[in-house]
Amino acid sequence: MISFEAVNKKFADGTTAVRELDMEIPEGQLTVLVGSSGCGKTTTLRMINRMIDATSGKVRVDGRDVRDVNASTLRRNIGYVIQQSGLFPHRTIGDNIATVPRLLGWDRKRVRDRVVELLDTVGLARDLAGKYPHQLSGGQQQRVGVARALAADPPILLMDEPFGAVDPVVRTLLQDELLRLQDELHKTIVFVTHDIDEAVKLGDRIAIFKTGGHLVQFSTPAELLTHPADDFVADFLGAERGLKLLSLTSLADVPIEPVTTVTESTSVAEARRAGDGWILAVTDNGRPRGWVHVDHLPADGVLADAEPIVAAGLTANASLLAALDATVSSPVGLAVRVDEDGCVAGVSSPQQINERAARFRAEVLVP
Amino acid sequence: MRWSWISDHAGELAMTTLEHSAIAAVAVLCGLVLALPLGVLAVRFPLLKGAVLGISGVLFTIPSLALFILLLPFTGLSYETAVLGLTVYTLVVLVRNTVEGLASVPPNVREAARAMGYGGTRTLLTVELPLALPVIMAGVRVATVMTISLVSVAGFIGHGALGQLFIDGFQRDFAVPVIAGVVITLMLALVADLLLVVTQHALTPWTRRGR
Repeated sequence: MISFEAVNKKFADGTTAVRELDMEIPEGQLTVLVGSSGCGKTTTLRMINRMIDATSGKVRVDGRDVRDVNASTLRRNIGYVIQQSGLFPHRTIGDNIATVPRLLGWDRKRVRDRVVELLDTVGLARDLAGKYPHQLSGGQQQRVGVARALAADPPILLMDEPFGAVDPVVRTLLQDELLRLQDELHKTIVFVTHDIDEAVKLGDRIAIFKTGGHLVQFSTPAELLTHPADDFVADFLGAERGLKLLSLTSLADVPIEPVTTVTESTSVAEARRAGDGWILAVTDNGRPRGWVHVDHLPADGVLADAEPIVAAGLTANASLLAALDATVSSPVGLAVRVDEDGCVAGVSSPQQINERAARFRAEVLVP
Repeated sequence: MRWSWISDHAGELAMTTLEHSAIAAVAVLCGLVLALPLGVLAVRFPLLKGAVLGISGVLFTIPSLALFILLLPFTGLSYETAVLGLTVYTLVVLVRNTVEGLASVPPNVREAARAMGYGGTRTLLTVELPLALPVIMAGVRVATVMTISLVSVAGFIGHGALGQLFIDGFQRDFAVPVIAGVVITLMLALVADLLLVVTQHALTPWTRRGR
């Protein structure tokens, strides 16, 4: 566990980055520090591994004042991931990942095995070990950054806007991977971002900072969205707080209704007999293709010749927000549900989704 | 023109070329040994930076002949005077490139090293200097070519190696040694530069383009 007790940080130029901070970061959870620039979130993060020393107050890791620990020793036991990866450009991917294990004096074989294991863990091909960072894409470099931070299996991981410099598609992918990793590893992660959506998506707990180094609220995402501490927090969360809340719970408990599907190789004539309005076209192995109206089918040929309104399949892990979005985008107002293999399992209606949302709201809105 | 002078003096010419290379190499190496710590100090202590760059720059503006004459009272007409003078001239390029090379290390790489538990010395030796190498090597190439041509000036204190050929040819009003000296100096500079390019290529595998 990491704790801050009455911590202040004043820089030499007189600015106060962190003011009277009291905070306990729980073990094995992902805590997000969020706020606009100059709010002290990064300073707070960097005081944990003594990249910055507090002006007054105490920062403790597992009960020990970090000032009583040699800075280098402390840092070798805390993983650190920064923006744009910060990989050593002159070392291969394998050597980059091996940095801390080598500092700790692991033998060659153990280091080599660990590198291979970590490449697997972060979803990179093993043969990348011999490449140099500039030969990798931004997303791949960021994965290497995570692998390097995890190398010596530190209980704590500090991440300073790690996904800030990659494009939105890759960012979403990396966020999902981080959640998957955390599910397996249960590290104590402290994650800094200025993106509230990222915070809501990743955080078990969120700490909101205000310019001048004030911690304004420290709570779970649900609590934050339903009970913002003040107007500043409410503003920071944005106008769609209700919708963001729906991103916090999954479709798992929403019932699945049966739906008639028609495979793409079906002839148009046969497809017409399947229904008299919108029908759901699926690939031959059962994956959803989209909605097709029988009146808009071509004169002959097969269903694959028609141009469907694409419908993405939602797994049980998808959020209520994604489901609601799917119903709005569908011509029949239904969200298409798929099983773990990606095959169509049925559909869910907005009413069913709303019922689940209402129950979730009741759970979290308890004052 | 008596070109046969060249074949008559082949052995002598080879020795002189070797001597010329040795003087230049020792001067550049001495320069590097001085420039690296000076450059590191200049980057670590911004207050020193102006002084270090300023002094090495001012030394460079002293005319080469005058510099050798200034050194005479201390080291006389010796080999040391030649090497010392040439070393001083390499400093301006080598110090500046060391400073620039170290400054070109991306800040987030330096920060990552610190955050993973690297001390200052380890960061300098295993991260900063290797990454500064391409810029430092660019300086070494310029300094080397410059020094090879400057060695001739030390002919005035009797340690000009190939430069002695110019004096010899001029005094005897005989062009062949002068032409031979110029051609060999040029070739020496080209070969040295080529060797340095190959060395740099071998030392910095990460800078090679490729998938």
